[in-house]
Amino acid sequence: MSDFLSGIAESLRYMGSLSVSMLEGVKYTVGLFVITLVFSIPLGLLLTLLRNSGKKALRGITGFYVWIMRGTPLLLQLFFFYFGLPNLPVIGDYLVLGRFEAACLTFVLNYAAYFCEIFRGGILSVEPGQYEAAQVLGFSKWQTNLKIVFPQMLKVSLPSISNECITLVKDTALITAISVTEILYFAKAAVNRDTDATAYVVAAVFYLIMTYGLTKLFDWLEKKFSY
Amino acid sequence: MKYWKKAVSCALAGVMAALSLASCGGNGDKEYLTLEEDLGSEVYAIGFRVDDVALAQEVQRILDEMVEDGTAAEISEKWFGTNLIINDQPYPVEKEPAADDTSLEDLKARGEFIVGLDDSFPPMGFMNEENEIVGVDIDLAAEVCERMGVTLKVQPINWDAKEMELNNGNIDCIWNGMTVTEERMEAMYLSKPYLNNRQVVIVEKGSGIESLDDLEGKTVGLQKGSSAEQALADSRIADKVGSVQTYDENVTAFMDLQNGRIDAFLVDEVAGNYIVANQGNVQ
Repeated sequence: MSDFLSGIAESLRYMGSLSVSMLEGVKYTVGLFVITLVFSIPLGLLLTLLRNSGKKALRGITGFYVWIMRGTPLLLQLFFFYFGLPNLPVIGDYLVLGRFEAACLTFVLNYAAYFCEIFRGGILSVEPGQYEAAQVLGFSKWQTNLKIVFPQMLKVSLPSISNECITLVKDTALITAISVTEILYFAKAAVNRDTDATAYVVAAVFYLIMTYGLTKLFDWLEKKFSY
Repeated sequence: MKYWKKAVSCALAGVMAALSLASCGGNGDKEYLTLEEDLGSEVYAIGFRVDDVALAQEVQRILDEMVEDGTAAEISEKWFGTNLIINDQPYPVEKEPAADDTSLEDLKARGEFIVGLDDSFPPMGFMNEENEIVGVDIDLAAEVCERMGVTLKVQPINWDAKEMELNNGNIDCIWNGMTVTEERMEAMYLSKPYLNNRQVVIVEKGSGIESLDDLEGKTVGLQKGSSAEQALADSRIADKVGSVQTYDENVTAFMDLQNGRIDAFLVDEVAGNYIVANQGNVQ
């Protein structure tokens, strides 16, 4: 029995030391998460507006963009922006991005496409009567969007946004493929060093903690937006 | 509601603890052996950009110096317990620096030598508990940098993408127990060989596999893009093995050997010895 207990104590101590080394990877995971959200949400909103605009050309271009970004694997896009861009003729030499910069760019462009579709769905859910009422009340196009359409769209979109954010936390693990030293990277390093898979479990706990925090945050937001 | 959540999180934590404890003991009591017959003997060299001949030859000059004054032997003894460094073979490809080759001046002006490596290759280069990358190659590179008067920067890379990383200028060389192969002789400018290495086959003790011919119809595992892959293709058993399973890292291939998904693990002797010696050492 005491062997069993000391075994557990030893395991816990090992997991503790793994956690300390993995904390160093958290800054890239969280950094990528924050940067992606901060830039891809406004970009997604802009794309939605362009996609719903009256100009056929704009609708076509944004539709094409969304098709490309949603239609190809994120990992492939990551390889393209990191390894592929420098190989382009003529301009390639100016497009040598750092690892983390390439990761951020890829994630922002990719997630903007998803957010664009989420917002578009939200806008579609706003009843035509709302637009008519706004027109009757003499609202301009911008006033209608800002004061009437967006708040309703946001409320409808929140569960999808929450879903997307949680997917984003887990997708950050992909950047280990271009050797950014995030959480999974340190887990793999420990597995290699110690020939022991415990580090994967510790990494899972890190991701679970982050997604748990996000779930709580969005629960609270949904209550706030339940008008 | 609150109690229910607490119960679930406790249960989750319990399951995880149990899983991680189980993973310690499960495969630890199996034993592994290296087949006497190998898949060929090879050498390690440092890879530079094809045109960076001046830089490569300066690094080589310093390495020669280190072999002569015994520093290289000291480093080898620290990691292997014996001196495995060799310095009696010529450059795989003889070449003179071009007239416009400024690679050495450029590097000195920059003051930083960026060494690219797959840091999942103990004991050549790997990450220790303090998140520092250490190993034989790192010690050698650090000493070279000191004598060259530049700082060493160690850059982890994905092994599959090493040529791209090199040609895109993200790293100055690949110094990572890299085996000399025909393809690498073309894709890079290689230093003189500095370490001897064999490609070996590791199997579970008592599996009945005792020679290369016993691998007929068996599933073998190896690291993708590794020299073991090449060695297998060149060997007489290339068409006889049942199937080849490739992995991103050597250690994951070894784990699949432990789990019984593959029958044999093909690997550099240096890396294989470390992995087998180290399994189950943590707990």
